Amino acid sequence: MTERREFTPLGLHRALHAIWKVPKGFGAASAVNHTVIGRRFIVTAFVFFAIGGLLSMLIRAQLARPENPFVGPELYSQLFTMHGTVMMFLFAIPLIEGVALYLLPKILGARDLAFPRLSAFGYWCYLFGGSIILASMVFGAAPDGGWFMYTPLSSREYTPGISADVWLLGITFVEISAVCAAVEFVVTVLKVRTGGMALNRMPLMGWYLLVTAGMMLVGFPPLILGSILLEVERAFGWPFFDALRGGDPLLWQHLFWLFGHPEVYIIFLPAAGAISTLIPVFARTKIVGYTWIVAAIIALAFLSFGLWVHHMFTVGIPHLALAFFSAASALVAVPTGVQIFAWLATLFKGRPVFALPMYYILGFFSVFVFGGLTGVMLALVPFNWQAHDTHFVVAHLHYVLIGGFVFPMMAATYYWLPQATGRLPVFQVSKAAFWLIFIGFNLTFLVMHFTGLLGMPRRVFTYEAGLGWDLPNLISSVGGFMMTAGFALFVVDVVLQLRFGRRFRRNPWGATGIDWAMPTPPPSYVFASLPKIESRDPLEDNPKLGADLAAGRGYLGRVKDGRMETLGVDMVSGKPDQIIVLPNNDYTPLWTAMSMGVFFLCFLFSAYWWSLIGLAGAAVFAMRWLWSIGSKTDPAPEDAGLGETLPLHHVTQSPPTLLGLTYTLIANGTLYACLIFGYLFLWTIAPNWPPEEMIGAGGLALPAAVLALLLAAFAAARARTMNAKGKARARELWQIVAGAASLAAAAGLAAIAFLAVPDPTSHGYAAATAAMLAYSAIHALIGVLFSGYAWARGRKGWISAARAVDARAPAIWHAYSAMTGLIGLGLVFLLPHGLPA
Amino acid sequence: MTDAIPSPARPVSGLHLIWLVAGFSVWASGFILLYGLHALGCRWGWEEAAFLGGISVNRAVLIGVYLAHIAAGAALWLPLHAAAKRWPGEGGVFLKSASVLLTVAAVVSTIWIGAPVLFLAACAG
Amino acid sequence: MSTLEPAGPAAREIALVWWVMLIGSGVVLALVCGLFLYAFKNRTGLAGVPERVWLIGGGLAFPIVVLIALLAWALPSGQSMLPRDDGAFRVEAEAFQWGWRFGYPEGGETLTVLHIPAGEPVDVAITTADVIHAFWVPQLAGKIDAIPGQTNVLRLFAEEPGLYRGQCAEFCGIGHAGMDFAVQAHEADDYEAALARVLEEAGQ
Repeated sequence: MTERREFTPLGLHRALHAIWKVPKGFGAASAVNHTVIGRRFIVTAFVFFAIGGLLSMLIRAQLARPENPFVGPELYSQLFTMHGTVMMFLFAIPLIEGVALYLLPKILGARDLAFPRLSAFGYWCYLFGGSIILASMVFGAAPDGGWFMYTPLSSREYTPGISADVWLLGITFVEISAVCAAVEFVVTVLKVRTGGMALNRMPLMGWYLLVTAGMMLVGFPPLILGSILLEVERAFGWPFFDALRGGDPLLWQHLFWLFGHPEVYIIFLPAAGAISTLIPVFARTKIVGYTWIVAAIIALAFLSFGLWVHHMFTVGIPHLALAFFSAASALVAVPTGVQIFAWLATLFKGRPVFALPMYYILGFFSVFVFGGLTGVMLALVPFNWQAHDTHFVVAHLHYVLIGGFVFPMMAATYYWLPQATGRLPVFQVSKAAFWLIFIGFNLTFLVMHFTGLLGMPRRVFTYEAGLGWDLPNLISSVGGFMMTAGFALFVVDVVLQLRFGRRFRRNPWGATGIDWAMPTPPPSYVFASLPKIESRDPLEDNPKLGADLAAGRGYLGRVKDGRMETLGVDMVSGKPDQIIVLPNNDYTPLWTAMSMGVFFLCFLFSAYWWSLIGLAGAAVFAMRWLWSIGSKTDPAPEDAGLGETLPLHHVTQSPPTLLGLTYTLIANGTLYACLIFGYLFLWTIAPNWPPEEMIGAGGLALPAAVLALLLAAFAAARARTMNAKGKARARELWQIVAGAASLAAAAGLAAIAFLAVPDPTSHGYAAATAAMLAYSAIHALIGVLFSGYAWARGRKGWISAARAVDARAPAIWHAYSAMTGLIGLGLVFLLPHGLPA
Repeated sequence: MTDAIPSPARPVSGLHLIWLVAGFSVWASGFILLYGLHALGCRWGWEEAAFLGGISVNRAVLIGVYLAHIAAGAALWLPLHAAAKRWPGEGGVFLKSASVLLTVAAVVSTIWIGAPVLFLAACAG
Repeated sequence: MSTLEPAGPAAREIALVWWVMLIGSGVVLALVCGLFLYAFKNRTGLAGVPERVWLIGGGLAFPIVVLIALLAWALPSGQSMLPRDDGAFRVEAEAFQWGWRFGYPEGGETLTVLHIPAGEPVDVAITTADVIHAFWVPQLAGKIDAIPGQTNVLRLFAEEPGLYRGQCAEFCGIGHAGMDFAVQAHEADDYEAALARVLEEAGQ
């Protein structure tokens, strides 16, 4: 069954590269390869970093002296809003995604991520969304409400025009890529590793990125929901945040910071992962407290979701509630402390050398620790009442973000750039760059703490002379320009390294991870064969591992049927359990993202009906995308090398696709939970809520619609069971029942939301109720697509009892929809009846 | 994890990762309930309603939720201990150490964040 | 405008919190960075310290002790700054784009300058006519937001008569930077007469 041809290393390289290579020219737009997409993410993110940096220079130029006529308040509002937005959403998060895309397969021993086309789709969403935001600046319609867009300042009444819509729609477009990345990373780390890489042997970076991705799954939905609700308020007048009509502007703040605080840790964790990777390498030893660090980052992930109200200590929440968040905000320092002391212990255990990346790690230690300490200060309620919304906070957040993210990322750049380019750095320039950045940074921001304590609020475009703010602002501006010069020098250094860097054979740093067990720059297929992992330090076990793998002496060191293959493993033990067949270069992600772009652009310019064309196009392309994978026959298990005989992923019980669907639903469920939170929040906050005449929308129509959702879930489950029994006819019939019931439910729910519920523009309760029902209606509608797709796939022979993915997916989806319907029924129908105001 | 069809080929070990997050899930539940019930209690006048010995209904509810979550977190120890006995090898040792660390950390965190209900005014400010 | 020149008990307490934490932070920062650099200088100096001591002593015990102490100070301290039902003098502040309107219990209103008696607590009930603003007089107390649909109360206490500068702290549109105001604290005995004079001059 399995043919095995012996290759020479060069022959194997040629054969694999012929399959994996990315086309040149326009064809490169079809690339799905993680090395290529990762590089694109990283380069684009750094371009946005430069743009954000230039904006900050304009800010510092304006504030350099009092009553400066350089820019007026209109432009200044755009400058600081865009600086924050670009740095947070278009630089930091995408850079993390890019680094993770580039590194994950290489540290996990895989040839690509679980869903390569999703990586490409995410990149296009990021590029298009970012471009929309950037274009608005060129056309003078840039967002100007601050990067956290507080309502009602950002509502239609106080911000007419499209600037706020640019932010809401552009950021949501970009965040699609973050959620896609999160799903992909979680599935990849848990499932797409090489053989023998048990969770306890996984490089710590893998743990950091797993936890980061998990946080993104539940951290981004609150922002996405908030953006949707605010956009719906702006576009259609549904008053979620309008206090005059039963809404509440604080709901926006809750949703925003429920995202916004975890976001800080989402940015920090991968950077900390880089520190945990680099320190043992340069200390010539193994990390101290591997298990402790894993526990610390999981604890950190949870705790970081209990801090968001510390951005809202001054909004008038009862003090005891502030105390919960104050305590949690202080507590989060503990898992960070565990990591810091684990790193220190590692340094003392080994024989550390002060190599180039160590400079930036020193920068991290000093700057981030101080940022953490000012963070503890801000966690204390009374101090926060003074420092909140002043330049003290601006200084603090730059200490945390530049110290905790930019410095480690620069250390990581110097560490992994040779891996990506095959060249070693030109040392002296980089050290000068470091000192310029480090000294410039501290000049700018250390002083800024005092500027804030001297009473200077943030976001003022100018200030009077004589308040004691003149000199510190001048120092900050000088320091800012110095730091910028340092970053410019860093760019020069990277270019020099790319152009003139010294070439090397393998593993210049003496690392022990498999990311160095490959040629540099890495080939398109990454590993000619996949290593068998027996400890946390594979290159220490076998320094010749790279050569062995290139010669095909690992898993899957072969070419078969022109397939792109990697291993799937058992989550915990890392025992191989399937061969995953990956998709090749494909334009469909680009078309899908372009369709989404049509949707967002039409919506931006209020062409709401036209925008539906974009959505329909995206749905069509998404199905076309899914259609092209799979098999029409039940493939037999194959020899995967090193004595493993494995099934292809089409016929396994736990294929990556279904895991991906599950994690997507976790993100989706978080969004729904936030919607429920919004509904209940408005309920408790507003007086006389809900208004009596609005209770019980739709009468018995709502229970009937939910019953249809339950029927769809039941039918889809039957279809799955019938398929498992090999009864294709029954499967198709049940799938049709599921689709029809789902369609009826969608129609019923939409009718109730728009006809039976009082006008959603009249009151926050009506709007929230309509939103709950619309959510379930949309899910029912997508359920129709799931069932229709599964039915068609079955007709064409893509489904069998063994190849069951397409029969199982609709069952999961319909069950989820039915659950949301039941919850909606309870909240909008039973609860108002059961609990009279 | 994704479907209901039992199958002999399906590894069960992935489910054991739940122990890494079980403790902090209890913590999260406690946090949400404390925050939510406190907001409701202050809004609905539970603070003015006396419970026992001068403690308001509001505070009694909050302390009840607080203690229940500490107890629930601590009670995870038994099933965790039972489950961990079946985890073999170095991977099992790792999973057990990490789970124990996280469960203990979660209980301490629950005690930590809820402690203000014991000594601060409930609805002031 | 400086929080470091407090003129009331709340601001004074917070300034003390700041100075204590600044010194403490300096010590912690010096310790961590010192250890980091020491590891390169003297490779054997602390090599004998067991891993558990680093993790449990440095990573857990050290921050936990410090944080408990800080919270035990700051939480009751914050509570003591809250307004109480003690019949304190109460004025109203309404923020709008872009200015402040202050109302008094006996009627009358002033723009931009809030007149209060010195030497006694004054509760300011803060609302907004449009978007979110924040009421902040750094020398007297912390800040609180003016939120549509709700009234927030901030307690001020000016120890001495004088003019204290205030500023809107929450970004509220293009007029944000110019939304400063002042609190004029008068001798308590002279307060009513002074307020009457001000209102009279304003033609009320």
